[in-house]
Amino acid sequence: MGERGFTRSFPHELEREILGTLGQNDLTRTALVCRRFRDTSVALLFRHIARWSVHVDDDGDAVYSPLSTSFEAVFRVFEDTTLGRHVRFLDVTIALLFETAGADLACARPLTPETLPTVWKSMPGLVALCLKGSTPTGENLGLQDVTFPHLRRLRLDEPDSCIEFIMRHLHRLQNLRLPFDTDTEVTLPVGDLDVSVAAPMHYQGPFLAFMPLLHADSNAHSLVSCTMIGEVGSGIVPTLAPLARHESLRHLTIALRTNQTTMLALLRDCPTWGKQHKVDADVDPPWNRLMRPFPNAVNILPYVESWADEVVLERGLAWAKAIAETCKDAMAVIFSSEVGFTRTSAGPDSKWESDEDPEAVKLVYDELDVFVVYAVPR
Amino acid sequence: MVNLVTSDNETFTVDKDVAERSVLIKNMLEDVGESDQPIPLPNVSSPVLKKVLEYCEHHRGEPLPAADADSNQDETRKRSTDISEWDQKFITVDQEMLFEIILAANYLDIKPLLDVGCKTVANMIKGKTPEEIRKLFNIVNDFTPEEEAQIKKENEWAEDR
Repeated sequence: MGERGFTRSFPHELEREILGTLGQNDLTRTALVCRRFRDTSVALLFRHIARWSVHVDDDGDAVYSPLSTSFEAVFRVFEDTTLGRHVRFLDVTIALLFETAGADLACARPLTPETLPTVWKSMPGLVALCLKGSTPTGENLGLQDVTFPHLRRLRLDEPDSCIEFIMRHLHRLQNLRLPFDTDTEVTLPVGDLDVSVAAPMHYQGPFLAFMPLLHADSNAHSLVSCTMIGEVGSGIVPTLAPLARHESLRHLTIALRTNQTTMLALLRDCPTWGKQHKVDADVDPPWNRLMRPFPNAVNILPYVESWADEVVLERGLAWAKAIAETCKDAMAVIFSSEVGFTRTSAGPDSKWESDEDPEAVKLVYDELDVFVVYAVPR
Repeated sequence: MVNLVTSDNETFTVDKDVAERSVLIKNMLEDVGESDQPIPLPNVSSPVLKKVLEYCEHHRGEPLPAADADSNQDETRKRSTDISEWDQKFITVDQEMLFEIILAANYLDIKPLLDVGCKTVANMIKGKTPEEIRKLFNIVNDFTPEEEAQIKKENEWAEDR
């Protein structure tokens, strides 16, 4: 096919379709073609502001690299809020915004809790928001009165000042990620809110914040991955049994600061769960009772940090075998970066081999790290 | 079977499931119900429809994209290079035909074909300078040098450094 040029112009909506398949490098060039191309290209550039970029190498593999200039795009939006209407996916390190606000390369006006709402409100089409890290001195993020009507994915690493913001969007979020720092406890004051309409597919965050969602009388059993961390709290221990209704659940991480008794109480009434790919449990044996709800788990990473390394080393193989008596499809049982066991096939006669760095673990963690904002194509 | 009549009055008789790769035709068939009435396609000429039907025939039976595929999925959308071997061969046509196929895919609402067409044009843009892109699309530069410099500066954040 020769490239002598098109003799007619594509309709504008098709021009946008065409430019919409380009990565950022090419969009910076198409922006220089003419005014019409510039308008479309700039809109597409600002559509997706991510901290990572991705391109496909000659072998067809995705190669990720940090896009260290992404915060500059936020400053551009700050300087020219008409650009905000283009933004759909936004991922920024919040401290970077505050720290560089006074620097030469940043915007002329200071970025403050008072000025931030203007930026947020200029982005009514936002679908995914990831505010990573914390503000340098605990500044307010300015989200109190902000509503994003199309928001579906949210990560907030410092949610303390944004609880109302989270609650306002909870019913429409498909992906909610709250701090993994177990010293931070976030409680979502569900109260009278109708959480039955909340249908997250991915949840990563505090156990206590998740319980109201799990126990809501909802028909939407949409969870695909779920990571619960932190404290179980005092009082009656809730059961995790409702998780069994989520038939699409493939990744379950239970990383709770609790004891064996509480963990067994959490697992009470649990029927068999069918499709989990990974199970973490922050307690000691007895494995047969702990693993009973997860007979089809394939990759199992029990947290055994309370045990001395030499004990784990000494008993690890026996534990792996004990786990495999319940989880007959288990292919990897990993206790720590030093002690892990894998086997090449399932079944009682299959031999466990010591494996300190199995590929299965990397695979599990990669799959667990669900993007809130995807890397932007170069 | 379904009869489709092109802008140049040629009639194509095709299997219903092939014709229904087009959401436009599918909706029209649903609207009129069981009928032998030919479906007029005034925006598509016979050479173009022939080519489009070749695509639909090859992809018959494949699942159609969800109607509610929204902007959430745009970011994960396949890049321009992801065109299957058959589609690449199919779309290896002269520019005029490529243009017409894209217009027809848009009019007939055949999203996968529209994607293949748009990605093919996008692949032609990839790596080109603004001047080369202007030539490709027959566009006149309407920027002043100062405006060009300003745009470059404003979009620096998105460039590889």
